Amino acid sequence: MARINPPFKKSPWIFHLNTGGCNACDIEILDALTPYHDVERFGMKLVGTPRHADVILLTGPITRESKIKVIRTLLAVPRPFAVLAIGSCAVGGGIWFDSYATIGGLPNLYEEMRHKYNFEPPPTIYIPGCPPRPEAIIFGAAQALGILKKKVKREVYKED
Amino acid sequence: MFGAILAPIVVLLISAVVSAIMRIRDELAHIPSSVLSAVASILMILSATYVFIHGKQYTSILGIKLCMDGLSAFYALIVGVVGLGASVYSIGYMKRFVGEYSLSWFGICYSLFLLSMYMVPLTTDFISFLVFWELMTLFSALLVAYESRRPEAYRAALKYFAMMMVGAGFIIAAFAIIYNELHSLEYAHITLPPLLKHVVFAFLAVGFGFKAGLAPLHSWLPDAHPEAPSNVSALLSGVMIKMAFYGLMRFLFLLEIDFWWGITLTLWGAFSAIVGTYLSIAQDDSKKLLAYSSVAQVGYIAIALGTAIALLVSPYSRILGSIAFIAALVHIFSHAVSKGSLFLVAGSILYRTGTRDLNTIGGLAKYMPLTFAVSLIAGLSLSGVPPLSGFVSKWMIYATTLGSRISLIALAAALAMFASILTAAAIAKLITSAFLIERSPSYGKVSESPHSMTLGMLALSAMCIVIGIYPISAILPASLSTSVTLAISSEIMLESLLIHPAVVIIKSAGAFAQFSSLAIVLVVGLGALIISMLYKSGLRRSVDEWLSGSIVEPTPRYSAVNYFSVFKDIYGAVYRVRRALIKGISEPLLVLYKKLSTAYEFEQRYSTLVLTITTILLALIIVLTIIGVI
Amino acid sequence: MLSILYVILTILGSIIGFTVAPLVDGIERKIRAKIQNRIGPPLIQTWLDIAKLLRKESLIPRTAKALFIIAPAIALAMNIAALPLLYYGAPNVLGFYGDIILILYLVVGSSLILSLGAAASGNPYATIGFSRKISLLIACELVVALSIATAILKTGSLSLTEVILRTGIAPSMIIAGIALLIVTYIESLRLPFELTEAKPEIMGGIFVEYSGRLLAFAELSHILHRFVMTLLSLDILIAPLLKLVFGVSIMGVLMSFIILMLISILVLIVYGAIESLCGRTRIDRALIFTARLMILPIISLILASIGV
Repeated sequence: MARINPPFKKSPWIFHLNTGGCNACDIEILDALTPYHDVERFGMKLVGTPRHADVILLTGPITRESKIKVIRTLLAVPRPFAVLAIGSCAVGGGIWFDSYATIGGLPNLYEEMRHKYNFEPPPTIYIPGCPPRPEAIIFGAAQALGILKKKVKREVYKED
Repeated sequence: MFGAILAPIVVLLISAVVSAIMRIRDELAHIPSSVLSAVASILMILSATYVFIHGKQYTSILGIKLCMDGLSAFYALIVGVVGLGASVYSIGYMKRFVGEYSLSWFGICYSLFLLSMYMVPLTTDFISFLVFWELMTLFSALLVAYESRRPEAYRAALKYFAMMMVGAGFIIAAFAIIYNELHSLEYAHITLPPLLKHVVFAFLAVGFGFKAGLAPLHSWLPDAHPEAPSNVSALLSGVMIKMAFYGLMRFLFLLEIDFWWGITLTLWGAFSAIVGTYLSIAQDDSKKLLAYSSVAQVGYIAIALGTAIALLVSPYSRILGSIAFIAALVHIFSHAVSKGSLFLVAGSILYRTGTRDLNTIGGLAKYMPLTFAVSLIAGLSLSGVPPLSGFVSKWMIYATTLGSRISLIALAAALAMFASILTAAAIAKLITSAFLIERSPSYGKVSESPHSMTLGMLALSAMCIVIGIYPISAILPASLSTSVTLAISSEIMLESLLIHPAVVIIKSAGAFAQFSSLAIVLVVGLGALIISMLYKSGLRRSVDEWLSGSIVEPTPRYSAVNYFSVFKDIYGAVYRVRRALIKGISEPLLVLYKKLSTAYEFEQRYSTLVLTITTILLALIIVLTIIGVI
Repeated sequence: MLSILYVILTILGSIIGFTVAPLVDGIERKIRAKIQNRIGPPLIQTWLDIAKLLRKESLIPRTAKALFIIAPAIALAMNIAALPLLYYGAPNVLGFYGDIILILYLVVGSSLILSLGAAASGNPYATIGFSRKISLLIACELVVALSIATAILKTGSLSLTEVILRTGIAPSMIIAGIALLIVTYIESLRLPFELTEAKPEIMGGIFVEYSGRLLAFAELSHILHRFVMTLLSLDILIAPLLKLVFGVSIMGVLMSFIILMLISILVLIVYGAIESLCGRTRIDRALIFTARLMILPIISLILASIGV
């Protein structure tokens, strides 16, 4: 998953991508960017185009309307890069996980892009919460940069 | 050896006759005239070279005494170089008009136009100067009106002709005053009373200013240049408008020059440079843009000439003044080749896409790579980027004007530097909107222009590089003609002038002791190469362009009309002045002329007949006036 | 002996200019952070950014022309070439008759070639940025040209070193220097005038399609451009005074070198502080501001022509 030492560890430039969310997560992202939380001390900088981005902050359940734009944006980022899926919707569709209007979160998009565009998913950090607190977002970003280690391990339930 | 001078004349006359005979196979008529004109152009270059090596040559034809001295040879060289490019280009370009307009008629006018341009600097007396001057105007006007079924072309030609007549009036008046004192029609130095001297200067400046297209008198130029066929535009803008400076250089130095003449010319030139470039960045028509840019570049020449006059008055600044004079000549040369090739580029675009509107074309770089390369070279040269010809001439102009320590000239120099950026912006607009920016083409796929056209363009743009890398190739002829005009012996010129710091930087290209133009480029180029090596080792990937993730149709993209539009809002005064000028100067003349000759509604042959007769009548009137003064 | 010192100082100055210019950018960001009461990025942040960009891949849009790829390298080379031509407190041995014009050519040319490269990307946002950048460049260049003309008129020399050595304290030069300093602020595209990138508006403008190494070259050349322009205006404004105070002895040259470097860093920091207090203006307001600024160099030119 998250690479321990990506080249952008000391200067992650972030690109903010709303894929049809309710804006709660976006407000929390903006909160995280305020001087109070001061993400610039990690060298983070908000950029205007995915060409400059190292980390994509993705919010929202990815509506059908926005799907093609999200795909184009993800294809427009130079490698290596990381994705932060912020909020319950981005993680798994949230309360719209089975809605016809959305595709139900980032994992489903990756699945589709892997088949259609031969796209290898980048390291992705999932930050649940509705919305997640700014601290959680910064914590996730720190994980993506390899500054902090994950506190939970991936566990798969097996029926014995 | 008089044959050297006469040979081009003979060839061009043969060309005109052959063109007239080729009326029977009109669709092929442009080939002999173009080939013969190209041959004549080569002969002009050769005869100019002969004169540079062996000194002044005299001959006479039909009782008219001709003389090719340094200055005439320099002009013959320019006519030859641009004429060669344009003639080769004509072979392909004139196919555009097959079946529409008479190619044989074009051949006649074209050959005679070249001939008259060659003859003007060769004359040695006022009358024959005027005759050839008017012939040059006539044939250029006929060529502007070549697409005579298009009312715009006709209107442009009439406007041009009307304004030239007024200009010629001023010149004749000046000549009459000179003759009244001199009692001889041959060129000779003369001392006039102070007041009369200034009047003569004013008349000459205004009269030749009309031809040069200096700013308030320029309004014929942006109409006539775009409407003429592009090969003719290259000659009009490249060579003909500079004939005005031949006149000024020849006749002003017959009088005793005055300091304030220089200042006047310099400030006038600066005004022209600013107005021309400001108007040029606002154009959406490729050839109009170039035409306005010519107004600006003529301003540069006027700045250099004015500085030369102002400095030559004082014996202490004579050397810097001579360098300014050389700078004017070198700029004439460099602008001739760069603007010539740019007009040919505009012609190629017109040939392939059928439009001059920069809003509708775009992305041509991948279809017409050679044309793109030529436009880049010529455009950068025009903006004064090293190591191209424009850098050489502009550098000399800046060095002399800024180094003159005369505050009004320094002001003009600052304005000229500013105009240089504006020129670069105009050229950037032309290149980006025609070649770089993607736009859904309404013209389908296009291919590279035909070989002969490409060859003509490449030949001219190659001259930009040659002069840029070996500046001495332009500076040497220019300094030889300067030494003749200013009566400085060529030994002194070569020994003391060319080692002046204002010249030495560009003279010693390749010598690293001095920071030459080539050295600058080598340093920058080497640096860029090293940096590019760094880039080469990195990862690269080809992707789609990023348009906010959406699929935008290319039609609503940024078009030429939006470029620098903010200038039109803020510095609108300049643009309003232009409209006022057009209303004030050229419109009344046009109306008057239309009343004089109702040619406007006629078909081509009748109207050309009327034009011809009018001109001959006017020429007769000129002659009679002068005889009357006698 | 002295001339060796001159050479060393010019080389040292160029190297310091090249390494310090991105560092100064870091200091600016630190200052901005302090104004907003936060910690801020480390001082070497800009170098870290560039190092990162050098390690990322470069994406080339399919619509881009070759100019898109070579433009950043040429722009960077031009700015680096301008560095050793400046005056670093000691008479510049590389200087020659006309080097002022060459410096102007190089700095203006680098801006021009960078925006041409952007337009060659085929992206409409880049074209908007290109148009704005050229408009701003045109407006600024009149002020720059008039100020430089003042300096040349005052001394009659086209060599930067000679201009500095020949002038004492002249009001015309000071006014021209101030005009240059202000126009440097505008031309270096700092915040009220950061119109060509305008991230929320035209998404990075001229840089919209640049990524990876190409972006690193473009950013570096942009930062160097700021440094060159600032040092050039300080050369006109402060250097004559320094020369008058310290002379051209070994100690004097060293002192003026250090002071000139410190002042140029200080000026850049002040610029950064001003930038943190501003929002973005509109292009037409920016041009009107620049047009009003023209009064300064015109006054200085008039003063210079009456010999003050």
